[in-house]
Amino acid sequence: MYSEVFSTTIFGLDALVVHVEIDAGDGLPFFEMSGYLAAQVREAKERVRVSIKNSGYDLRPQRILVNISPADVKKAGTGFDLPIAVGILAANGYIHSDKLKDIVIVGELSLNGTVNAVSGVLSSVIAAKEKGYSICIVPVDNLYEAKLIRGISTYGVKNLKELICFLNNGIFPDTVNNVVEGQHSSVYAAFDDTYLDFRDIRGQMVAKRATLIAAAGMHNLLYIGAPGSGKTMFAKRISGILPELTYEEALQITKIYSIAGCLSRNSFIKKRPFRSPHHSITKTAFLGGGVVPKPGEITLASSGVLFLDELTEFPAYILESLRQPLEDKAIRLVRLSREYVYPSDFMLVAAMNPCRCGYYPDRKRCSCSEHDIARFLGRISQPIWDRFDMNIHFETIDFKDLSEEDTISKETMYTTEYMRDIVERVHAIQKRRFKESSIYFNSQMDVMDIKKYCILGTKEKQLLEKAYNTFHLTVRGYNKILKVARTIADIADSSEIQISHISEAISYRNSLGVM
Amino acid sequence: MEDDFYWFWLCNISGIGCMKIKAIIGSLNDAKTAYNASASVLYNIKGLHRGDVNRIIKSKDDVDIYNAFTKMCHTDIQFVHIKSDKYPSKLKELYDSPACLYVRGKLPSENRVSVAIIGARNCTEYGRSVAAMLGEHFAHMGIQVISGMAAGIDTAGHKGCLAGDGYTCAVLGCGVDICYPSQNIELFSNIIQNGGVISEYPPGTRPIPANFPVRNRIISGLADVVIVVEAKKKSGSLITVDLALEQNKEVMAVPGRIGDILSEGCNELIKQGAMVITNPEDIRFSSFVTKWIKNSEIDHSDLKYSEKNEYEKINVLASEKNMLYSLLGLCPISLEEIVRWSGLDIQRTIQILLELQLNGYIKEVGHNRYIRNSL
Repeated sequence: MYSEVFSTTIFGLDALVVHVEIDAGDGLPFFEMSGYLAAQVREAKERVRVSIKNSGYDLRPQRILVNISPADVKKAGTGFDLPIAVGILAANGYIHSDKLKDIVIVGELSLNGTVNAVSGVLSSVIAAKEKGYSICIVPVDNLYEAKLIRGISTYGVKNLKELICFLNNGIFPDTVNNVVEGQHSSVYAAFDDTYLDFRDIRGQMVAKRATLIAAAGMHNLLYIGAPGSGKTMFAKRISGILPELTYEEALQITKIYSIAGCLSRNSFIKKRPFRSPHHSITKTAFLGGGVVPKPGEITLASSGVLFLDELTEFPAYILESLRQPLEDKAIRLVRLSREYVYPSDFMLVAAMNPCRCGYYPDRKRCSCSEHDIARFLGRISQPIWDRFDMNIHFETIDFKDLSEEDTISKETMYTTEYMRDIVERVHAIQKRRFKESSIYFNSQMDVMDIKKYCILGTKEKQLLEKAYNTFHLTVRGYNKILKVARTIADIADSSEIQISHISEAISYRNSLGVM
Repeated sequence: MEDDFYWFWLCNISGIGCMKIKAIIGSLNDAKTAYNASASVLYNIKGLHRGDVNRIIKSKDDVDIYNAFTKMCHTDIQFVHIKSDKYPSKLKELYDSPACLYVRGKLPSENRVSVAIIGARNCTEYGRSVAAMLGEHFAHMGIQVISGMAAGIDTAGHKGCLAGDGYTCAVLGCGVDICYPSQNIELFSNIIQNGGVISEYPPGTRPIPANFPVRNRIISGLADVVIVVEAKKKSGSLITVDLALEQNKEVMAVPGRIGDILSEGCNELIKQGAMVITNPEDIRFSSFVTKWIKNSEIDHSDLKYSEKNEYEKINVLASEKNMLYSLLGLCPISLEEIVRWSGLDIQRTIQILLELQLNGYIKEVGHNRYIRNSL
């Protein structure tokens, strides 16, 4: 007997619906699989046979051939166990083949017949929906993830027997599927969206303001400061002041996390990602890689913040590999069979010490020679310095500031909520401004855009000219100042860039890298 | 020229240092005579051993010395030996005066006061500004600034003097064709153009650490007054001070606050009796300088510190600017602290600071840290 079941295989960030064809015929007992299968899929053979047996179904000795088509696409992952098992049972008459026509099935089987979670369910459900299937069967542990997609019925199964029962009778013995069905919004709302608050940080007004500006214009940001001055605390809070994720964005991020296998049971990424890889990270883990590439840190940080703590400790080849993804907002991973394009649309935030001991220019504590400092800063190449639009120097906080109460009123101004309001407003302004161009934020403006949107008055031009000569700025540095000034003007709701905006932008320029 | 070669040969024999050369010249009077002297004559010179004589005889066949000399003749390096007219007379007085000097640019003038500005390499911004200020005012006063072109105070002193269009002289611990530290290349070429670079080591000598304390005797030897701007308790600058005292020169020190590590050496010197210098004009109180001025025929009416009226200059500033300016000192203060102390909002503060910076009142050192531009 022949039967056909539909399943999916993960292909980059998307899934592809594939046909699982089973033929169970007479002959010597035999189990063969074909269709360009990875090792995990081949291993399904034994798992499927044993789990069918342990679920209480009797298979007579027979010749079983499984083919997964299209045969020119590499199939990987463990999600084929369940469709193969269902197909074999259908070929043996336990299920009517007609019932399988409109259903996509994914799931991994245990030897006792239990269905285990798989990665990439979100992409699978999306693919099933797009291809016009009306039902998608997923492991029960992935059900919340699957339920995020509207317009397709999704069911979670606990074990093989339950699934067969559903396919034959159309009902589940369990109630879990009925509870969440059709309640996408409540599922969405149920996930945690609390962020760390800037309210927790005392003092550091300058750094807070700079962080606000950087988030508003999506400018890449570099924190420089002594050890323990709060650089990491700041970075962790940045994703909280970025605008809330839209449903579509959240879906995209969840999809990425699902494929990377970073999604825990029943979770959904509603927070903007904050990724802070350790500096011992490999290039593959950083950019993404593998035969069928898995997303790397830069993709996992997409729509959020990629934070590189102790920037100077990162090996040069890791940092240099950031240059192209930062420009293109996507990384192209080229493999022999195909090219995979993953998003890398993150805000880069980095932190570093100003010298080896970390206290320069406080000569009471720092005894590094000028040569040592130059060498320390020299670990970061000029092109990487250039990627940072804004630099902020952190101050170590006195005990007085930690304990003093009267500064609190001023500090409470910079709460995450307050800052997010401003950032959202400025993002909206930028959306209007760049309606007709392919960019979204001030930080992405090129020379032509700068000419168009950063128009200066005579006084402002004079100031900038004077600063250009005094500080020996480069043309690139000059453009960066204009971009940041544009964002500052947007925060002040001013259509023209004024002197105060330029002054502030100048103070965030990089004055360390050109020592 | 021919004479120069014999001197060059004598100064470049390995194992024969300035003391042995002094002994040779003491008895033979001339390098050429030494070259032509037989072994038996050399044996009779007090202070030379058998090995030394062998080395001298052997070195006459050394092609490398001859090649080095020819190579040097094709550059702008001048060779000044101890018997030459150009040789600074102040150095002749040293116990171990260098037998020869390699010079690029000009040697310091004999008719003018010379002051050595020395101090720590890892100095503070305060030390840097003081050294630069002293250098510049000395330049205006017609005083020559001698230093070692090391990072930190030395560099600031040289730069200050050049900024005031004065003469400055750098005494190196390596060959005069090598710029050490290399980031000073701009300063190096400026000094060659407007002052002089001196070394007792032949061209091509690498900057090995042992050379530096040795060259310090030339720095103090060329100077009439040695000023220590910043020094830790155990500092290389104090070697120069010891040498200066041995050479009977005046030592002055810039005072610092108690507890500042980089001022401990200076304060210690003051405790031991060094003169305090807080103002460039204080240099006139040095008996060496006064005596010299009296004996000199040159008009020294320009030897006056033209004091800019700092207070008046600042009072012209608007009140907010005035307030921010008065917050700043010579120790770097961060933007964060300025905002906190002034009570102004961040944007306003930044704008004023930038204006002050562009007008030259203050400057930014490190990132977002500000100091006053002048004392």
